[in-house]
Amino acid sequence: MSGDEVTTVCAVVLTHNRCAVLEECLDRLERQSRPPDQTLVVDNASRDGTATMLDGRPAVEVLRLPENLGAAGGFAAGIRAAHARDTDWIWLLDDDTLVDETCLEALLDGARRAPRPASVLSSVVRWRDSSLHPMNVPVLRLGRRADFAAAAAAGLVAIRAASWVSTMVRHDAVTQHGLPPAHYFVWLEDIEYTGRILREGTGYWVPESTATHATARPVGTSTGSGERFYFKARNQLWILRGPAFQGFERLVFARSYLRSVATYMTQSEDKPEALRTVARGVRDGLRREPT
Amino acid sequence: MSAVTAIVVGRTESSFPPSVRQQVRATELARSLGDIQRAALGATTPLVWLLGAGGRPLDDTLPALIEHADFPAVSLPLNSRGIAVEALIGRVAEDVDGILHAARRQCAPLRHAHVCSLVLARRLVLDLPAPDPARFGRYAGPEWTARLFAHHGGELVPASRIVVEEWMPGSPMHVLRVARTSRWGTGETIRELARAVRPGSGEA
Repeated sequence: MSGDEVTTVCAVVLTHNRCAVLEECLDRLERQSRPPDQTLVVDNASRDGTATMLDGRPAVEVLRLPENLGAAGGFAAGIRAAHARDTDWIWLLDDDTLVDETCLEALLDGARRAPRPASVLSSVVRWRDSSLHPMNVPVLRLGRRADFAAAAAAGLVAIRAASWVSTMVRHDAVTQHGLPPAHYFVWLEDIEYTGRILREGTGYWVPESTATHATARPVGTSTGSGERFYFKARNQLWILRGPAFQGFERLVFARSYLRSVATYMTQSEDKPEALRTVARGVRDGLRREPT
Repeated sequence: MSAVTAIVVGRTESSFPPSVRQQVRATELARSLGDIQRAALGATTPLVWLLGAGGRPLDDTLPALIEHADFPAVSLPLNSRGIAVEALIGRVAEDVDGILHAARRQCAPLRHAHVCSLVLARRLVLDLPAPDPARFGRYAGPEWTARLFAHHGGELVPASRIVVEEWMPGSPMHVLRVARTSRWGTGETIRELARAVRPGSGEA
């Protein structure tokens, strides 16, 4: 990767019925110290006036999906479309990602100074109170100490997987690894995809690249998720059975799975319903994944 | 010349790395890690530089450590081919905010490390109960630094490099003792046991 003047970026923003926050997200992309070269909004069948708002932004390309495919299907469609545009990087954001002014510039600077060519670069994402958002802390690559040290020497943190919230994926990584698993619908498709890329590839967390994830609450997927925990229970089993993580990593992931189920059960008020949710997720997670 | 006393561990006067004397105000010898408190008593400088047996400093070893000496600062161990010796690097502390903060300073926070090259305040060596090689063998350094870093922090400074001798695995029994004493996790214990029983270069 040579200097910034020849590096191109397509920002892909996924949205579903959050017109106001999407507008703020897009405003912040426009105000970047180093704006993306292209911006593509994937509209997951919004019905709240998002289409009208986007019509008033001619600089933004829109990919309208006829039905809500969830984050997994939406980002798969967006990455496919962005890949066809042939930019060096695809920058992925949820519609409630509010990037700070130098977010993209800092990501690209991270790419330049990385000790090895990066396939994935991720921003530091906080909630409104400035605490690290629990949904967006990457999986760190602590086991490879020499790589971690080399990253630290460059002012970066070596990572093993990352969330969609302000994460860049390199064009040739998409060429090599294809698209994220659209059939996940929601939750953990980002971990599966970036985990698959970073099994052999290199990824970094860039401390100077910052954003806010403007969720209603700063919680992870095990807390207050209700019936949606079904997707975590199912998808995490698919990940465990798939190629993204291997060997000892699988054991660590399995332990995290059991902990998240325990947390969910403990915090659910309706224990029988929670148990049914987990049971359905486990049942479907043990079945063959759709192809 | 730095206001630092080098405490060279496990060497004789005649086998001292010559470059060390040129960089520090004074030198002391310690027969083993268990002897570093006695050596530190003889020092008069506020900082001491613990140099493990067989360590060969480079030009950047000490200056980079001094620059980061607000915490105990650890060098990156390399073999004679210039490749990082993973087995000697130590374990990164799993404090995410701490990792980010340290990365901005081109460092990484540690839970423990082998003592190959470490700069710290002299008073810390005197205040903390000494390492116990008789009990922990080659893992006396990780055991001691685990106690040190738990209270005073500790950082890997990759800009500071030290060339070390060929890595030798330790005893599984010592691994298990340190794991119990320092409350290692299961993964960490298994990894170190594997290193102890499986001959290798110590590289990644």
